[in-house]
Amino acid sequence: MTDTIALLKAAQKLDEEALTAIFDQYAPAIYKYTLRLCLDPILADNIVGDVFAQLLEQFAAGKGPRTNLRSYLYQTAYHLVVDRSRDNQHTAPLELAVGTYEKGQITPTQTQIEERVMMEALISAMNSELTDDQRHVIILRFLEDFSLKETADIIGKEVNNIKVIQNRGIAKLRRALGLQLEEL
Amino acid sequence: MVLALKDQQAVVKYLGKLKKAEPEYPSELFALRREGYLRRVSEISAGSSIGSRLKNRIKTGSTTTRA
Repeated sequence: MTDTIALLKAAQKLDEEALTAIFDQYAPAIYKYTLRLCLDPILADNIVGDVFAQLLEQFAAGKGPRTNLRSYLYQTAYHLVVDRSRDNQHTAPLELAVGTYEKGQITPTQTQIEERVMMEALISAMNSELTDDQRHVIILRFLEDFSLKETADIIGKEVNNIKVIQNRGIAKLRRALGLQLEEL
Repeated sequence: MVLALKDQQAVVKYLGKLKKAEPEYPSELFALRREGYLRRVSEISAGSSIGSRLKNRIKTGSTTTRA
């Protein structure tokens, strides 16, 4: 935590080393997060560029985050994705989101096949069953490990509202996975 | 197993697996993006440095150029 604050203070002074360290530390995570939301690697990469361009502009103007850099970056990414999703459709195949799942695997076992089916059902449900808010909350809470409070700050809603959205999203996923299992 | 899936924890477990299975930032894309970012960092740092010198000059009323 202290390291992050020291890094932020140096970045606010436009220290090149600190600004580089911030990019190296957070860009891959922001890319993954954005890819989960938009399912488009090129768009995700573009959004990473915009997130860090905005961060630089903020620092150059003497503004920008003072404490929670990680939440700030995710919040910026979230807003950019929401803005752009109004004009774009999800076009990437589902396999993209589980691209490394079978890495190094030669012949899958029955368990692995079942797991693969479950994962695809999960991704499919996340993309087709959940509302945008539910998908964002589930991703931030369970794939990015943000707290309820941090998730509420990023999305711009109350904590209680986030809890409701989360529970409804989980319930939908649970139903989707339950149904999937019965088909096996 | 169907009963176990009706528990929220089962969903969370699969979400955890999904987290581990996600693809990395493609190295070519990352390298290009990083290069562009570092170029912008240099521009902004240089601009800030010039700005600071100008501010100091305005404050002190100096018109001479110093190294």
